[in-house]
Amino acid sequence: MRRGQLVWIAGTVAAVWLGAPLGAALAELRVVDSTAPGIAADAVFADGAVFDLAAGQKLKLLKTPGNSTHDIAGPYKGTLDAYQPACGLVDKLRGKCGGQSGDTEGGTRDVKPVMGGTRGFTVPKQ
Amino acid sequence: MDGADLGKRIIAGLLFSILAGLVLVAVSRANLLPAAPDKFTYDWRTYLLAEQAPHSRSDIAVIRINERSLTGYNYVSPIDRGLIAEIVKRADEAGAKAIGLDIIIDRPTEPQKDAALAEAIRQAHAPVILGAVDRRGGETREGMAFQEDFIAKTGRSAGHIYFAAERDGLTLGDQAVRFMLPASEEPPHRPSLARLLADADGKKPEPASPLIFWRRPPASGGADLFTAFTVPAHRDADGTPKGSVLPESWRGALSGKIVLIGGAFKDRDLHLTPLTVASREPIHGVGIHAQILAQLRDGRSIHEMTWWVEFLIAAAVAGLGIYAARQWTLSGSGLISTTIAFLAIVSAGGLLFWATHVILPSATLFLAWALGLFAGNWAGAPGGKAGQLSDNEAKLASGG
Repeated sequence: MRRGQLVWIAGTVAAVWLGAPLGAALAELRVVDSTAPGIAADAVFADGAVFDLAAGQKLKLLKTPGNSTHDIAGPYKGTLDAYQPACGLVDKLRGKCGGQSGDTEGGTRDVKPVMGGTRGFTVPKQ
Repeated sequence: MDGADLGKRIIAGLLFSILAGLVLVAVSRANLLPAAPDKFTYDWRTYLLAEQAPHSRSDIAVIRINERSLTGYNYVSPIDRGLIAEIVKRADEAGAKAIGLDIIIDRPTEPQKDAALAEAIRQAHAPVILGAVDRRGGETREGMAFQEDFIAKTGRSAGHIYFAAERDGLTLGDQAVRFMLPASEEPPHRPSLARLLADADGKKPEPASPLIFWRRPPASGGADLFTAFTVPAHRDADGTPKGSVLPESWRGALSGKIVLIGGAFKDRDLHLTPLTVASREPIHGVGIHAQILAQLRDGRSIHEMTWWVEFLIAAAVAGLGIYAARQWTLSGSGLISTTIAFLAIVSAGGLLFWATHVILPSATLFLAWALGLFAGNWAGAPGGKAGQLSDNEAKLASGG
């Protein structure tokens, strides 16, 4: 077998081997909302993109093809998959884990909750 | 103490424990026990031990409308009906499985826009469930009449949008949402919005209790529990349109999902829940409806104890209180034994919740323990406390 053929076979094997993760990496991240300068809504990033957010900056991303939405809050530098909001026991006890609304509007305001569209009631014990 | 005397004391202790258990359960069922122990332990164990969803849900999406969404509109309340109509159309075009509106429509706004919304709901291919108020909210006759007329125009079903905060009979409520509510006893007997949406593709089972089964979002990647969007500003401040109400790129994320549409304003429809007990950050009602919807679709339940199980445990705890008082209280370690009992009840409640999603009635058990201690100290000894003291003095004199 000539050297040129070997190089061609090796190249093909490498391409196939690398092709699998590249296929999986077809997933993309679309910016739904952003408070980070330089990252505009509707911008698209590859799944493994590294984000660099300063304190107070937030990103909401739509991950396709799974169609799940994700929130990243700075300070953080890294990929979406590696993002792990701090939420250990101490963080939980200090109320640093937030609610479950996924609302990126944030900004806790010094107002008492006002009853709005949905209202609370007394329910008898079953 | 001879054998006969010991037997009498044991029987008296058993009878007292049974009586204490019965009284406490009866009072508990009448909502007359202080709710603080239950609320404290329930909220914190929910907050600390609530299940974490393994991944984002693929069947529910939430579209929120906030102040920024209404940039360029002349008012924020009621939400512009033309905008709601547009969102309903877009969600329907995207292939939503069903659409739920957590929005009260109980008064006219701009006639053209009111009509456009009724038409958009009527024309949608997907089932659309409207949120509705009823007599429980003290709505006016005029408001109810407008709502019923609007619902009739759409030809769609409506579900009530209430959930329950409190069931303590002694104090004012703290407004933290913990329960689902059934249909109103007065007509119209509408099931909840979440129930109708959950049943959009087939009847789902009733949960075992009205307690909401809260779930936390997945741990990594900052994933939301539900696919969630906030309608972007799509007008300039002067009202000139500048973009789409729902960007095209979101359509795929709404396809095949039950889409809940609701407000996310700074000053409205905000509620505390057990998941926010530490942060004190209220969440919007539409997020709570999404939690209930997910629970109903999954058939998940938080279980409460039946009265006889609660009675048996309360009687046993009262008996343990009597035993503890007889053994340790007079030797000065009553505080320690009570602290241990408190921690044991809290720990058992947490463990039971974590492992089986059963709620231990903390208030009943704390009071059972206190009654047992009281009985052990004062009523269980011959001659009451004085008799017990003389027993102890006799023990000390004999070096025992």
